[in-house]
Amino acid sequence: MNDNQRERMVQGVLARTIGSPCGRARALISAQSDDPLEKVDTSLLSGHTAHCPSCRSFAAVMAWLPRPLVELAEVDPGEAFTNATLRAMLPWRQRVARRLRNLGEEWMALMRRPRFAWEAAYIGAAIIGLLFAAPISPLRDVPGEALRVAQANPVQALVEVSRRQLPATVVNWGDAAWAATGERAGTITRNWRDDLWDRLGRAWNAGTPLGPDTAELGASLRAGRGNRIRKAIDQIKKDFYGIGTELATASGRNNPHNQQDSSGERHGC
Amino acid sequence: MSDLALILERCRQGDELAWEALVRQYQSRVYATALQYVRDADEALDLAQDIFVRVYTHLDTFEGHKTFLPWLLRLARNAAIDHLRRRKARPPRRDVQVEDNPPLPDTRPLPDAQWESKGRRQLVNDAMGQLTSTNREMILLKEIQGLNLKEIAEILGIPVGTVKSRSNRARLELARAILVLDPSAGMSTP
Ligand SMILES: [Zn+2]
Repeated sequence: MNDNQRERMVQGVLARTIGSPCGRARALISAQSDDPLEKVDTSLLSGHTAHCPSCRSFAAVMAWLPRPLVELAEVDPGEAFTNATLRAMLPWRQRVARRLRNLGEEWMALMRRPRFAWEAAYIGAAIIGLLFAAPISPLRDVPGEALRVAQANPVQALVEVSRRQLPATVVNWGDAAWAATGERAGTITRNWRDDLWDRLGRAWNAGTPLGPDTAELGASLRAGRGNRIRKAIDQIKKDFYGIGTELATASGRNNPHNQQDSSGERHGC
Repeated sequence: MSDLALILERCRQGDELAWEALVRQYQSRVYATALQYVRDADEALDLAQDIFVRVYTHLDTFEGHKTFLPWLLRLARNAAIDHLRRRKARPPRRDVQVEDNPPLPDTRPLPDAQWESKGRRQLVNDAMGQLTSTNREMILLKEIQGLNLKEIAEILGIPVGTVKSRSNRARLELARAILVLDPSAGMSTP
C-alpha cells in the first residue's frame, strides 16, 4: 500500500464509523490556549494534524492569533475625543447643580412657614441622608458636588433645624412624616423617594450589587423572598434615622452655644 | 496606594485634573471596547463618551480593593447594551450602507517590520465582525482585554465553566472566520 492508498483507507473507515475527527481536533487546538493538554491528547492531536491540512491551518491561526488580539485592546480615538469627553461632562454637572439649587430654594420657601418646621426637622435629616449618605443616593454619584451642596445655605439651614428640633422619640418617621409635610413638600420628597425606589428596583431586577455599603443589604435581598424591596426601604429608613441623629449630635457638638436650647423647642406645634 | 488608586480617589473628590488623567489613561481601551460592540467608528466615539459619563457618575460604587478594568468593562458593557437597544429602536441614521468591518483607525506608527502584524490585526478585526455578538463579546473580554474567567463570569452573570466552554467556542468561530476571509492565514507561523 502506498501513502495515498493508506490515507484513502483511513478516510474510508472514518467515514463509515465516526465521521470526521476534525471537530474534536479543533476543540483541543482551541483548549490548549487556556491549559496545556494531557500528554495523550497532545500526541493524538499531532497524529491528526500531520495528515489533516485543514486542522494544520487552524492550528497555525491559533498560534499567531493572541498577538493581534492583544493589539486590538487599545485603539486611540484621537485628541479631539479627550476634549469632547471632558466637555460632555459640563452640562451634566450644571444640570445637577441646577437641580440642587432648585431643591434648596424650594426648601427655603417651606422653611419660612413655621408650621412646617417640625416635620422639616425629620425630613431635613432624611434629605441630608439622601443627599450624602444613602448608598444609592443620586448624589453619591457626583464627586465634588456633595461638598458644594453641604456648603450651600439651604442645606445648612436644614442641618440647623435638624439639630434644634429633631424629636428624639420619633423612630418610625417614614410614612407619617412624608404625609405630614403636605403637598408641597410631598412633591419634592416624593420625587426623591420614587427615584430611590426606581433605582433599588432596577438594581434588584438587574441583579447587580448596589455598591460597597449595600453589599450586605444586597445579599440579604437576594436571599429573602417577597417584600424584598420593602425590606430594603425599611433598612434605608433606619439608616437615615441614624444619619439624622448623628448629624444632629455632631452639629450640636460643634456649636455648644446652641446646645442649651435644644431640649425640645418646637416651632409651630 | 497605587497611582491609579490615587487618581480614582482624587476623581471622587471632584479633582478635574485627575478625571482628565483617567480619561487619557483609559480612552484607547474604552474606545477599542466600544468599537467591538458597535462596529462603527463614529458610533463608537459616542458610546465611548457615554461610557466615561457612566464611569464618572458611578465612581463611588467602585470598591477600591478590586481591579479597575473589570469594573470599567462592566460599565462599558451596560452602556453598550443600552446603546444597541436605542439603535434598534430608531431608524438607521444614514441611508448609505454602513460598512460592517470598518478599517481600524491607524493610531500607532508602524515600522516596516510591523506591517505583517498590522495586516493581521485588520484581518482579525474583520473576522471579529463576522462573529455572533455573544462570541465577539467573549473574545473581547477574554482575549482582547485579558480578563480572567472569574472576572468574565461576574460581568456576564454566568458560571465560570460556562465562560470557559463559550470562550473555547468563540475562539473556534474566530479562527474559522479568519480562514474564510483569508485562507492563506493558516499557511505558516512567522
Ligand atoms: Zn482535521
